[in-house]
Amino acid sequence: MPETSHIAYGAASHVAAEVDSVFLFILIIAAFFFITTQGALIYLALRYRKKKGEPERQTAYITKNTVLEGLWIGLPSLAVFAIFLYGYTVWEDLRTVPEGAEEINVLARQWLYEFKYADGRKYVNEVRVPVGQTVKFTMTSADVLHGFFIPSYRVKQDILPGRYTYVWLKAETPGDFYIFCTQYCGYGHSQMRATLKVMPGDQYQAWYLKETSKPTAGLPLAEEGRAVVLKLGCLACHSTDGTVKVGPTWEDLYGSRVLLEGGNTVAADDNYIRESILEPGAKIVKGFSNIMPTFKGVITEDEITAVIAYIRSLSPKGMAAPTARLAAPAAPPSAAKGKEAVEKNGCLACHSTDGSKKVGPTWKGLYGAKVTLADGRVMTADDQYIKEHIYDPSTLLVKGFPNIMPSYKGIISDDDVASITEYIKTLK
Amino acid sequence: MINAVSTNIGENYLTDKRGLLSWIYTLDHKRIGVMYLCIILFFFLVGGVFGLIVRLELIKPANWLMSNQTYNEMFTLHGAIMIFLFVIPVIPSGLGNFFIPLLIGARDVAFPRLNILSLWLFVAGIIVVMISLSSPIDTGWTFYTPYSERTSAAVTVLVGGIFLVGMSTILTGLNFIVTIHRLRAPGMTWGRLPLFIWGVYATSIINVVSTPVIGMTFLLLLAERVLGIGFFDPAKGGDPLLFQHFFWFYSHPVVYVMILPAMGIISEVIPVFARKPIFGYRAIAISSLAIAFAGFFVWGHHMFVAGMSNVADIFFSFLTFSVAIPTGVKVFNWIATLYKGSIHLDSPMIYALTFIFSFIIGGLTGPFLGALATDVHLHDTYFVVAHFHYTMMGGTVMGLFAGLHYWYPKMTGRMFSEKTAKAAWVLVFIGFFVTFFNMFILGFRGMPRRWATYPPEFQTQHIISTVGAFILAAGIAIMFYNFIVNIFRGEKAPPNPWNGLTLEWQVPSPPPTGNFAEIPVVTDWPYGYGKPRE
Repeated sequence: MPETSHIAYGAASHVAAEVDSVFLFILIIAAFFFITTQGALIYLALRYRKKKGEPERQTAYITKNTVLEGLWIGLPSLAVFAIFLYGYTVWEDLRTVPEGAEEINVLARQWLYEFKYADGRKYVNEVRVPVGQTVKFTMTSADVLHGFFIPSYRVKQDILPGRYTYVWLKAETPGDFYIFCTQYCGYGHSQMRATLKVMPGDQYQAWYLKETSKPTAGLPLAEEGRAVVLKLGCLACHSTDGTVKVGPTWEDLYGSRVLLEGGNTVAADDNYIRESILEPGAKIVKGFSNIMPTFKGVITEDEITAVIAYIRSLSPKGMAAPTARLAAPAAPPSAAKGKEAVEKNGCLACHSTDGSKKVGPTWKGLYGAKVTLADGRVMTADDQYIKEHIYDPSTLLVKGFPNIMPSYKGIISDDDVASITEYIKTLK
Repeated sequence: MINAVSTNIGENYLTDKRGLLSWIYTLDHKRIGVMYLCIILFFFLVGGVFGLIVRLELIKPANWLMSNQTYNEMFTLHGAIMIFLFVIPVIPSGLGNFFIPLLIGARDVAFPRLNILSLWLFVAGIIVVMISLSSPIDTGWTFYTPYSERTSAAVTVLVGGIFLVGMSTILTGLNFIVTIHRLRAPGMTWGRLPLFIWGVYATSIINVVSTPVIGMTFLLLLAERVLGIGFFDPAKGGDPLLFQHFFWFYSHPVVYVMILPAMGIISEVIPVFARKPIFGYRAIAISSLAIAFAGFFVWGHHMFVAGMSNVADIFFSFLTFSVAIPTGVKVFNWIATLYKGSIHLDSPMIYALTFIFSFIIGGLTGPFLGALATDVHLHDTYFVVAHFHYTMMGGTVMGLFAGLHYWYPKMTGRMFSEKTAKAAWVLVFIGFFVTFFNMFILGFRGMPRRWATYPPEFQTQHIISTVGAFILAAGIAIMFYNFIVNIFRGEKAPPNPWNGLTLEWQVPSPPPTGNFAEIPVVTDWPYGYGKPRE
């Protein structure tokens, strides 16, 4: 359960405490000006008020005082400059990712967060780190603007479609911490929340071993990226060992500064690599020609993330490529596999299994029941109904619910659909 | 023709010509100002009702009165109506239209026909906005893309309506600038201009320069929605940050449009009711221009966590603090004016003092947001909501109320009930503070903006704010009742009930259509209260 109230959330890390120090600094300066101005305002208004029945007194004909004017231009100027400087200094800490930070990818979509670890494990609306770990969240959106705010850690950044943004933190305090969406994103904006679970080392280890012993179809991110790169033919033009081919080598690329045609340099970060894949003509590396084709429409969002991880693994500063895990052999559809698929794809962000009404209808007692649709038809929730719902939800809009479920065609396989159906059958 | 030397200036602008058409086709700046005021104050109440609906829903952490969709529409309409149909135009187009010519000793504005055209455009814009309510917008008043470009709500129609309202503002601004330059009475040098005129002058410059930018931005948004041209949607090759830059390039200067006229009113009211000259006239006049100027360079402080570069973040934070200095000058000078005065605590003065008290709080919470480290935590939380309500409501609206009480006798020819006004003020003051002060704390604790539902630990503070909102509403209702009922029942007002020295008090209450029997010749500044005889 995310932490409950105090007058303010305690700062959960050193950097967060630094932010609070800036806040306190500004508060003290503001309090000084508050007391002097409001004090003068109230005192003068009362001291010089004209009381009923008294004759009008002679007032002082004072039109200006240049010394005072200079004082109350000079003093506030110094104060605000100090505030700017302190605020900037601490903010540099907030934006500078320390070396050795573990990178966790975040994909935000209406209205949930998908967290993807480097080894390929994916979780929805929950991310766990061990106490003491430094993490960098690299984030992008699948649709509209979202926000990523962890109040206790004093970090916040918008999440944009088409680019990557980041926050980092050192998980110094164990506990469950709110993650809030703070950029208005439509219907479910205020229900778009996740949990950061910072676990004591031994508990985290136990959980980690359990999670990584499960057979899963996911590959470590860098491995996945290597597979994508082979599939799309990138290595025809780019080497991974320093050889100069038609295109620049990827060895030591990530994190370096790249010299472009025209003399500018640019940092080879996530956004740079993404842009090079989707809009290769935007930045031409000096000494190379503008002949790389775009992969827009050919490469998916997840694949871009994986390719970036692969390219990062080719840099000394990047991570070492984790070992691949064997994909589980194909098995017949099962409720257990269905439950995993449901968790992996975030269905429970909108559908409950216990009868409670969320953004979408509950699945409890759904299978075999009669469902009234918005257009008046009454249908039985059988296998075909569930399959059509997953692939083409707007054709089967249920009465009383908004038409906002996205289609999972191309995202959930036929096998997984069958497993999900098995799982829903168990929810009586 | 009104502008020529005329022997017949009428007796009472309200009754000199009769009939509905004489109002619709009027060229009299006073009638135009009154019509603006009536329409705008009506929408103030409409926007307020949407605000009360928002506050009602927030009594409970989970949806209880309405769905997420309806809530999102309610807070969007509250913001859009309050900003575009109330706070921006109310003082310039309402009180400004009425009093600018009177204060400078002119018979009307420079372009009376342009003036009535502005009003017609304003009304046309409102009608279009009303049409959009058939599919209410749910984007927030900031219309961030790509959501605003994809939502099925009537964004296209609504921004079309605001485009027309914006045209009205631009033309009015142009009119005021020319009027102030060219139509001042003989002897009224720039150094003898009332400070309200300096305020609306700076405001008009901002309006003329910045409003076209939001107009163009809305046209681009329209083009994207209707024609599919990808300016702002990454799925079409556009950039969502580009929209934000365009939007805030206007929307930051516009907050100075909102506050400068109100500050002008305070600069008028304080000397009259303290019976003292304004302290530091030149500094206050220049500070209006300085605020207008500096306000154009700080828009990025709305975007510190939006994905701008580090360099941009740093520059905008540094420049943001520059606006604090001229603002502080005004506050210090108003307070200094009270020293050794003879302060009449009548309702206009009480609202003026309330403005200063509340605006200081609003202003002092600005640095928390201008400083980078703290803004990361506070951005998009209730801290920001509290900050802008303290400056816009505690500031502009209190200034408006001061101006309405101050100039009511001149506009209507009647006196309102001072007792009722003070009773209303008590509720307004208490209601305002109870509603908004605890939002600073709510925001620091992490409560995000624009949330229909929320974690239960925030409920107590939300309930407090809702109770405050209804107290505030009651106070405003009593104030409006006081104003409306006394139009018919109030004591007849003398020409100069407050013993003011500015020119509007030299003509009858209400003024005749032609304002002045003879254009006055000005020989001194209007703040010579208690001036020792030479």
